Amino acid sequence: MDESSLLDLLPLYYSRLFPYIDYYRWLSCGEANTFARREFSFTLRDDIYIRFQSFRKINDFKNEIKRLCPYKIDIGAVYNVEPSNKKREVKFEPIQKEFVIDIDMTDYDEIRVCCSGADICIKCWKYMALAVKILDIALRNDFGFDHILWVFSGRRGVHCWVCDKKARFLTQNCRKGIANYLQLITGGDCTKKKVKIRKMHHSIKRALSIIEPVFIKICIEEQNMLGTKDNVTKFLGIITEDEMRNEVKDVLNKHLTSITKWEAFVSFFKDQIQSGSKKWCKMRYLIEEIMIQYAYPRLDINVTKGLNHLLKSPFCIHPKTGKVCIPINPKLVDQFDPHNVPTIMTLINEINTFDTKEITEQGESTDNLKRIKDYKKTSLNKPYYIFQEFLRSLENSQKGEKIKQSGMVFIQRQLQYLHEF
Amino acid sequence: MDYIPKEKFTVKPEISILKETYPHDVQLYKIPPTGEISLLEFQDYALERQKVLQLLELILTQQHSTLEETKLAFTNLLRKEGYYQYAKLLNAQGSDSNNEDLEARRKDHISHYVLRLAYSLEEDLQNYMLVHETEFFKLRFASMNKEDLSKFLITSGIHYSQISQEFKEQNRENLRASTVFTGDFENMDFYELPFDEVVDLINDRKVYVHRGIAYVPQSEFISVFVTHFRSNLAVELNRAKKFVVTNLSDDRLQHFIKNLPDCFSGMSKVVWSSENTPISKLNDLSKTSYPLCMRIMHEHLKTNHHLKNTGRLQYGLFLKGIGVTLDDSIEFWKSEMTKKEDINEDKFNKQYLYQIQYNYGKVGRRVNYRPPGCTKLVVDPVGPGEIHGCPFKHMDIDELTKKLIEYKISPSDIHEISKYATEGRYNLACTTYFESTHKKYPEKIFFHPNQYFEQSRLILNKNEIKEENTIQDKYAELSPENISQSAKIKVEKNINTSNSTTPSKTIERKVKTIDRKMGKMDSLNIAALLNDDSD
Ligand SMILES: [Zn+2]
Repeated sequence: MDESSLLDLLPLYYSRLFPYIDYYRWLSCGEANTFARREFSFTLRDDIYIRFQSFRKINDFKNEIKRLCPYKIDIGAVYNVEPSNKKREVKFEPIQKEFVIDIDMTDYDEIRVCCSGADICIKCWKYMALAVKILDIALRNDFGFDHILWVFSGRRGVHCWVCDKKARFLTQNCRKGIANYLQLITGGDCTKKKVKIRKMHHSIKRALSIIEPVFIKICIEEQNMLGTKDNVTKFLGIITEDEMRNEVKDVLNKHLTSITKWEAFVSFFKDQIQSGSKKWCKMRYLIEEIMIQYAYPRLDINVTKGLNHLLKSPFCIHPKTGKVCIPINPKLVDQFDPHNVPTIMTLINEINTFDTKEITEQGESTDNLKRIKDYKKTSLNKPYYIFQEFLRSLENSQKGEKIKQSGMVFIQRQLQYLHEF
Repeated sequence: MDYIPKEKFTVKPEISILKETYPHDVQLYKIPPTGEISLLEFQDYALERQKVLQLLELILTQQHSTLEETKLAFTNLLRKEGYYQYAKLLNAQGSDSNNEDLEARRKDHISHYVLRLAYSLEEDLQNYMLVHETEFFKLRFASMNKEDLSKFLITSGIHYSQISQEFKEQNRENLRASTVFTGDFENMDFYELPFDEVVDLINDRKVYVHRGIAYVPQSEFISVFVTHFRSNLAVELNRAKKFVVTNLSDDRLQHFIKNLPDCFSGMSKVVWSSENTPISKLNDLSKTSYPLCMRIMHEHLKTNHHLKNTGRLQYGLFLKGIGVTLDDSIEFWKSEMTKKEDINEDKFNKQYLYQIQYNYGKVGRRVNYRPPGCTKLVVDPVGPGEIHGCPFKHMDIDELTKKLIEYKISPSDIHEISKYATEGRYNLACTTYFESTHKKYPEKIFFHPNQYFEQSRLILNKNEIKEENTIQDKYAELSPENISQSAKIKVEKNINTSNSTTPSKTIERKVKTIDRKMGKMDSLNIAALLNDDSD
């Protein structure tokens, strides 16, 4: 997408399509005061980057967005004081933030063969789908989180926002603990065996039950895990003992395709275990470790750990692809195709087509036209619905909590809303 | 309301009160110490504890495989260095209390609080204290036997509910698979705890957790208390900072507290180079004087013209430490990174310049960031596409060997280095690398890349020794050796007034300086200093 058309379209997008009200509902967490102390940062034209923006009222936010038309909006933490009013002498510190996860396809470059760098295709997107499924269930079942928003990052990854109250107030150390719990793949370019399973923890077992049925299709076939000389060398690196590595090498050499090599390796390994070979029994989870290394989510845990780390906002437009960062329904993530994500261009066309058609059918009377919200005329309708459903359940839980605390507060909040809109 | 005067102790509180205050070798440090203490004692305690934490840092870089081994190594080191009281506290024989024990516990209590003040002022110091005090606590907690533990639980007033036998049966498979335990599963009691109270167990996947509840066997209670200890200390450090900034009015104390973290040339202390290092020399220096970690990063940057974020941070701060100026640093990074075709000068200025200026404290929070030490390099995770951190830990042995061959290290040294690396003794591996490249042992042990560099320059650059001495002098005034010497001297003088054991002139001079600076005020009220209720 070229820059000049982006420049033309952004003002339209921000005035007609950006979901300000729902966005405010989400980030205020039921309290105007929370929204006012929330950090936003904007990337403007020519890579101008401004941090520590904050807004007391929804209209202040709306007007500023419309005025600046940012290429990118990042969301930060909620601070003890309003970020735009922070002063040197007062201690400025983050109080709460959603628990977030960032997964980027570039971290898969060492295992995917279909694309590299910024490119994605339907084959490697399957890694993202796996990641969403594995992490979503871990966050819900293990940690008891219920309000999880998954968002397409606009080009080649996904973001996860866990918005339960308990998640928002987690300490830095606790975030780190959960991040490490979820991170099974460790080690940089100089570590070839990146997974070590000492105990079959229930969370690993569950992840494997999600990976196993699709492992052969995705990793062995489509990504050709053992199909080229390079890939085989990479694979053999996982077996750290020289002698054992050579044994496997011999086994693989007898076969031609990725899939027959894999099958041969699996049956060789099983035979060794069954015959009680000591050195192989020491690595009894080798197959599982390989599956994890080739298919388990690779998260950028620094983003998760930091309380004051920023993350790109949902409903931004990716400046390179023009795609909208739309919410993803984790239950239907297999059907999600990043290539079908609407771009800002298609959205504006859709509105125009709808309006023109309506005018020809209804004549010049535009009453009807005005009653229909703009987003409903476009392919954003579905993603917005996902967002609204997420908000509805989030707010229900907040209401429950508020009522428990005090009926008064609840009423106050309603009044506040009336005032804001 | 009646006015109740606060109780005041003389220098040595009575035994009965000590017994009540310190019933146990392990403390949670919830209540600040009260009573009065001489300024010298105050400093002495603080310096001693600081040294103990430094020794612990050394132990932690050795990566012992079990808690027991770590404790044993630490105990031996403490004894070797003469810190018998701390060696005893570490092995917490529990709640028996003779006078000596009580004295050690009081010292432990006071010194912990003094360090809180001194280490509260900067974020990286806070983190240092948080990590090492928590580790220290963990080791001590692990020393308690069952009986001690139950006594400790009573005094801490913490209660958790136990799961029913029925629940245990229903979740048998998950509990067995996900719990790390020794002994008999059938007789094991599980307790329900919110997961955020056992972060360590979550972090290491050592416990069954479902819908936010962790099912913790009693044997893992250590994790509960470690988490509790850490989060409490994190809060308290911020309170301490507020106190030092707003309420600490005594200049001499201010001076002491602010300089304590810098005031001795510890093994893991950053050594700031006293002179500028021109960037034109970096290529040569990387081969002669860089530790392996930095050499690899430098080389990677030179060949790939890129380093990922943590790598840029670690290498960038190292450069700052060896005396590369901000302007030079910007030029260096710019000239390297813009060699990559997708980064032009404009993009560099927008994406990377900020971080470099930030490291030098010129933008953002304007903190003068210290280069990270070995502990941090060893512990920080390394992800795909990254090459930072400690190569002895993070590289596969064959990769490491390949690198060392490329760097022309002799086969026998390579053998030794990889042996140490496999055993997790990264510091020894690093020292061997040093020895192999310098044909000489370093004068001092190091636990910091910048100290490695300093030691290397010391050998390779004999002419500049004079300047190195001036750096040392900056810290000499308050170094722990001098302080404890002065304290010992006082005792000696009390015992033997005949002056037959007069210390050497140099020591005398140093004692005088210290006396002049702090000695006049012989006692101060710790309660007033530490028990601050103003916030
Ligand atoms: Zn692809």
